[in-house]
Amino acid sequence: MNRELCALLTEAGLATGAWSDIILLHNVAALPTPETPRGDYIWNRGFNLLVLDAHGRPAHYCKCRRPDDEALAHETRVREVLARDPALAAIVPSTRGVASGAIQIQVSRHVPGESFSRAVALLSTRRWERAVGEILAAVERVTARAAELMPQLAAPAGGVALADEAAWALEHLGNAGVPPEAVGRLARVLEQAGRAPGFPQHGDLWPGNIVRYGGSWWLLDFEMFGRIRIPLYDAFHLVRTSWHLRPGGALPLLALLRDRVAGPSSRSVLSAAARRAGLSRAQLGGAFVAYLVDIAARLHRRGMPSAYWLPYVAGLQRLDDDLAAPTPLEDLVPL
Amino acid sequence: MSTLPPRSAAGVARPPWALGAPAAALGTSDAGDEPTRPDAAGNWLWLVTAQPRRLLVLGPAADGLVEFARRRFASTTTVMPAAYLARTVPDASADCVIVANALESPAFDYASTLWLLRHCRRVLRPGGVCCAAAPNPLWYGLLAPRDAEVGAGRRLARLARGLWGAARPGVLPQLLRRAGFAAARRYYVEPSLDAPRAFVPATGAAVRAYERQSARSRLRAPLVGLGLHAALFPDTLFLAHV
Repeated sequence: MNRELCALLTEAGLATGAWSDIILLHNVAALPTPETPRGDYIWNRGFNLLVLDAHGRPAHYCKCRRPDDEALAHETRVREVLARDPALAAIVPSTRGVASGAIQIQVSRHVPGESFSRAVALLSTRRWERAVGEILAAVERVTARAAELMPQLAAPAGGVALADEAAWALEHLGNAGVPPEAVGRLARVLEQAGRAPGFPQHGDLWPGNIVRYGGSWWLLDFEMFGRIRIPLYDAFHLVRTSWHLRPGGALPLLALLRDRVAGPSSRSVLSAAARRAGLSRAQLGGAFVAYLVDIAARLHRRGMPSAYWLPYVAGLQRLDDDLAAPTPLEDLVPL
Repeated sequence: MSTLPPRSAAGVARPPWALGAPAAALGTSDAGDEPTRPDAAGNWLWLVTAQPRRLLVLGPAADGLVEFARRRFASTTTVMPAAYLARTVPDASADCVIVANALESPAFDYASTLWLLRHCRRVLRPGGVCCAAAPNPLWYGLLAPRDAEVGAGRRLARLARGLWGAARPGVLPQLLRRAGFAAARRYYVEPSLDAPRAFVPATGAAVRAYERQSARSRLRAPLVGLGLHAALFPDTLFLAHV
């Protein structure tokens, strides 16, 4: 096996010297990549390794990226701090970062349980609601501790201006071809929503980043952690993406909330999260718009195929139809 | 440009059990089938070799692999037709030889494959490695009909070569040993060696770990349980050291 990689894994405390102990996964870009990374483009990534122990069981998960990959460096810093906190020891896997001139590696303990992305399709609606509620409670514990342990991630005391939080995304969508009148309507709604209590969000809370193991919900992939402070961003994203993985569940978020089957449970989860966050109905409406704008722009900016971001843009168009009606901000999210 | 068969350009036709969870459009990172840069084809090479002084690629090979090798290993990479190896490369002059797609050619029967592998052994320095690929005939013979660019005759020929040819996964390790290499280590590659997303050591524990980790279709589980690992992966790569 490559001596440089071997030395880095040894430095991280892994006793492996053979490629036969290692599975190469998510191999999407050469290391080093020829271009300087820009933004959060998917092809900035390198590859991941799953390191097996002496019995052939997965023991560690390694993300391998360019040495100047800021997203991974940020995730490693956050996870190293959070995983040391005893209150989060059963939510955030222990993590360590090592680097050389050619490669940066994040080594974390492998969590062997079942991914929520596999389990979610088989849950009854009632169990889905309970699971999503538990996951959101776990995420809120993490984000609350993160704000204490890393004050730079905390939102300002007076809350966040939703229009400011989503300004870059509106600009991006405008440049990407969303009609100026639609961008204007969305911007006006966000201005109208004003400020709302802000919390650092996980930022990528979809079922593939959640594992059930040992009676706990473990969270993975903290690359976006704390970069988004739009309240309930994680809740909106988890509700939409986890319902999407259920049979017949591919619905835009607004349609999902109005759906006869999914609606009651989704609304119950979101209204509980809104109460805990201390949001008014108008602030909830503003946060909803900010989420839809941000996620559509973020996925489009990644340079991924249209299948990834089109459903989000479609959801945005549907919202814009509602806004053109016009719908009062308080009634935007049908809770 | 390489002269690879269309399977590498158009992607591999996937049987139902190969389809992953329908999660591609959900996460904002590591979300299943993200686009892959062509030069990612070379990362496994970096894992295998530290800094080869001379790397030989016996063509045809994926553009991404060659691009990676040339950039990463500078002027040490040479791409040549397999037949030139015997005539132009001196003994013990290379650290790594890649035989990616050459053995799929109808020209390579048992005798000529063994001849080629013996020359690979000859040109390698002590500690050098030969990387030889063997495609899965079930994938490229039976399942390739989904690929409109490949005609029926060519598909049947592929299937026949895959089932009875010298480069099939069951025979290649024996030929490598007969050519003088130490025992070859075997890896499964998915979805293809030309655009690999995953390399999995060919052991039961590693395949089970990969299947659990990658959240693949539950239809694959019975094949994993029965040990029919080779049916799950389109390409097999053998690493044989001197």
